Amino acid sequence: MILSVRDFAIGFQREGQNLVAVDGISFDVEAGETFVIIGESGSGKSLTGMSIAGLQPPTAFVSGSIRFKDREMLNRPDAELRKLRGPEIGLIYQDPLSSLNPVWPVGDQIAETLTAHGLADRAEANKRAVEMLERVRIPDPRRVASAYPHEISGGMRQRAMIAMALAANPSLLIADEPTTALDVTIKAQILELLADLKRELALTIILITHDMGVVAEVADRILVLYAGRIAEIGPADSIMLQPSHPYTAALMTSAMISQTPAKQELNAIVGGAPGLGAFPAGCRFHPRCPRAQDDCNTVEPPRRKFGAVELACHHPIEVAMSLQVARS
Amino acid sequence: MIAFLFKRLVWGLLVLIAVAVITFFLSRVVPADPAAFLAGQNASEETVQRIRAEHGLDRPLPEQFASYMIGLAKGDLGQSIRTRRSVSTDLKQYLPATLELLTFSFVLYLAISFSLAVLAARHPGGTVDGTIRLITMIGTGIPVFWLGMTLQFFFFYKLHWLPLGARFPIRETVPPVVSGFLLIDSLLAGSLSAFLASLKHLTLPAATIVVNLLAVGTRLSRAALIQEQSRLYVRTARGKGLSPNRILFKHILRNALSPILTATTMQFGYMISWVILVEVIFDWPGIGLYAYQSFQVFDYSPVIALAIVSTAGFVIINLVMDLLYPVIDPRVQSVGS
Ligand SMILES: Nc1ncnc2c1ncn2[C@@H]1O[C@H](COP(=O)(O)OP(=O)(O)OP(=O)(O)O)[C@@H](O)[C@H]1O
Ligand code: SF4
Ligand SMILES: [Mg+2]
Repeated sequence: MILSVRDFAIGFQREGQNLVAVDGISFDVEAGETFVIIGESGSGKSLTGMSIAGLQPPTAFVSGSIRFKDREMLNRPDAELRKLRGPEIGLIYQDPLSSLNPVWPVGDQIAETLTAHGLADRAEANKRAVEMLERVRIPDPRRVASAYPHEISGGMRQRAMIAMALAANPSLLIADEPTTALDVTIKAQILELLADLKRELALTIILITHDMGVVAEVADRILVLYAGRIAEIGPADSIMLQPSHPYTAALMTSAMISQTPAKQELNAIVGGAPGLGAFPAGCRFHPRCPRAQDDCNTVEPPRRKFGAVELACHHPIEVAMSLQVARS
Repeated sequence: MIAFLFKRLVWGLLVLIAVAVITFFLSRVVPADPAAFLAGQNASEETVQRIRAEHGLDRPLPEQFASYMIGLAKGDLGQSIRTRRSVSTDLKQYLPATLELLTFSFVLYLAISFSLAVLAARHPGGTVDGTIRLITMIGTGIPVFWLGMTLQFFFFYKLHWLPLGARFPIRETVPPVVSGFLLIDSLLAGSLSAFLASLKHLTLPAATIVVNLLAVGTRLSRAALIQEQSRLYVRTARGKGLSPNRILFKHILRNALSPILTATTMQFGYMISWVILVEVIFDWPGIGLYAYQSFQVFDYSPVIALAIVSTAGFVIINLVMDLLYPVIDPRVQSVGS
C-alpha cells in the first residue's frame, strides 16, 4: 500500500463560517494500480488529489490523515513536502498550455525538475530532459526541448508535462483531468502512453476525471465522490458493470446514453450537484435520487462493505444486495 | 522586422513634426515681444527693430514658420536670443546633464519600485503591503516643488549632508568630458572624490523624482506580480517542488516583466516632464533649466527645442521597449516580424 487516506476533510472559512468542502474520505491506494477518482464538477476531486501532494489551497483547513509511503502528509512543513514533489510524487494537470511557463523552453522546464532538487547538474539535466521527451514518444525530442510551449501542439504539450512530472522518477503520478482539454484521438494516445509508462516505470497513478470513457480505459479501482463525500469505492469492473449506488448507476447510464464521447460527462443527470455550503441533510444525493425514501432525507447513510465494494446508501441496487447474500 | 522598424521610425518622425508645429504656433500666440524684452526698457524703437530684424521676427508668421521648419529639416534648431548661440550648441552643453539625471533617476526608480513590489506582492493585503502602499502614496501626494524644497531644507540647511543644488562643486575641477556623465567621467579620470561629489549632487534631485513616481510604479509592478502568481504555471512549479523564492525569481518575475515594461514606458514620459521642474528647483544645468530661463525672456527657440528633444526621447524609449518585448516574451516574436 503506497497511500492511505483516513477521515480526510478539507474546508474553507467564508464570512466567518467554516464550510466543509470534503469530509469523511478514507481509501487506500495499492502500489502499481491506477486509482481513478470520479465525480461531478465541484465534488472535491481536485481538493482531495492535490492534498495528497500537500498542494491544497493555502486558505484551506484540513483534518484527518494522508499517509504516503508511511509519511504523514497533512500539516507537514512545506519545505519537507517540496522534497517529495518531483522525486516522489509527480503531478500533471488539465490545461497543458497554461500549465507550462510560456517564456521558458520546454526542455529547460523538464530539466528544472532535476536541477532544483540537486539531482543533476545543468548539462546532465538537459540530456535527461531530451531522454524524457523521447520516453514520452515525442518524435523529435531535441527540437521540442528547445521549443517554447506555444510552438508545439496540445498533445505534445501534455506529453512534455508528463515528461516533466516523471523526470525525477517519482513512484506516484497524480493526474488531474489530464485529457479533458484534448481531442479524442490525442486523448486516446495520452491514455495509452500513461498505461505504457505505468508499466515501464512501475508507477502508481491517481487519475482524476469526469470522463467515463477515460475511466473505462484505465481504471483498476474507482472512487466515486458526490458533494464532498464518498458514494462508492471498489474495483473498476464492479463499479462500471454492476453499480450498486444509485448515483454511480446514474453516471453509468448517462455515459451510455450520450453517444458522442464529448458528452460522456457526469452532469447529464437530472438536476445539479449541490454547491459548497448548500449540502442537503441526510444523504446528499436524495433530492436527485430515484430510489430515495424517507430515511434518506434525514439519516446520513453509513459506509458499508459489500464484498470488494464499499458504499454509502440506505437502499443500494439489488445486484449488490444479491452479491452480499451470496458472499455471506 | 525591418518593415516594423521603418514604420515605427516614420511614425515617430510624424509625431516630432506635429510637436514642432504645435509648439511653434503656441509660442507665437503668446502676446510678448522677445526683442523688446531683450533690448531693455530704455531702448529706442530702432534698437528693438534691429533686434527683431536680426532674428527674423519682423517677417510674417507663415514665412517665419517656413524658415523654421526648413532649418529644422537641416537639423538647425534656431538661435537663442538670450545666449546668442545656436540652440544646437547650447543643447550639446546642457543635454548630458539632463540625461545623467534622467538615467540615474530611472535606474533608481526601477530598482526601488521593483523591490517594493516584490515585498508587497508576497502577502497582498498584509501589513507590509499596506505600509508600502501608504508610504508611496504619501510620496506621490506631496507636490514636487515642495518635496524638493523640503529635502533641501533638511539635507542641506539642517544636516549639511548634501549640496543645495547644481551638478558639481564650483571649487573642484570637473573631470575631462568623455561620456558627458559626470559619474562615468570621474571614474574614467580615476577620481573617487569627483565621483562621490557628483553622486551627492545627484541624490536630492533624483530622490525628488523617484519619490514622486514611486506609488504608481510600485502599484503597477505589484499588480503584475500578483496576477502572475495566480497563473497555472505557478501551480506546476509548486508541483515540481520548487521553493517560493525560486518560483518568484525564476518564473514569476520573468513573466511579469512585459507588463512591468509597459507601465515603465508610460512612467518614463512623466519622468521627463518632472525632470524639467526638478532642474529648476535644484539649479541643475540641464535642458530643463536652459529652456526655463529662455522662456522667462520669451526666447522661443530653446523652448521648442526642449519639446522636440523630450518627445524624441519618449519616441526612442518606446521604440527600444518595442524591440525588447520579443526578447522578454518569445510569444510576441511574430508581431515585429
Ligand atoms: N481555494 C478555494 N477556496 C474556496 N473554495 C474552494 C477552493 N477550492 C475549491 N473550493 C470549493 O471546493 C469544492 C470542491 O472543489 P474541487 O476543485 O475539488 O472540485 P472538483 O471536483 O475538482 O471539480 P472540477 O471537476 O470542476 O475540477 C468546490 O465547491 C469549490 O468551490
Ligand atoms: S441513501 Fe437514499 S438518497 Fe442516498 S443514494 Fe441511497 S437511496 Fe438514494
Ligand atoms: Mg478539479
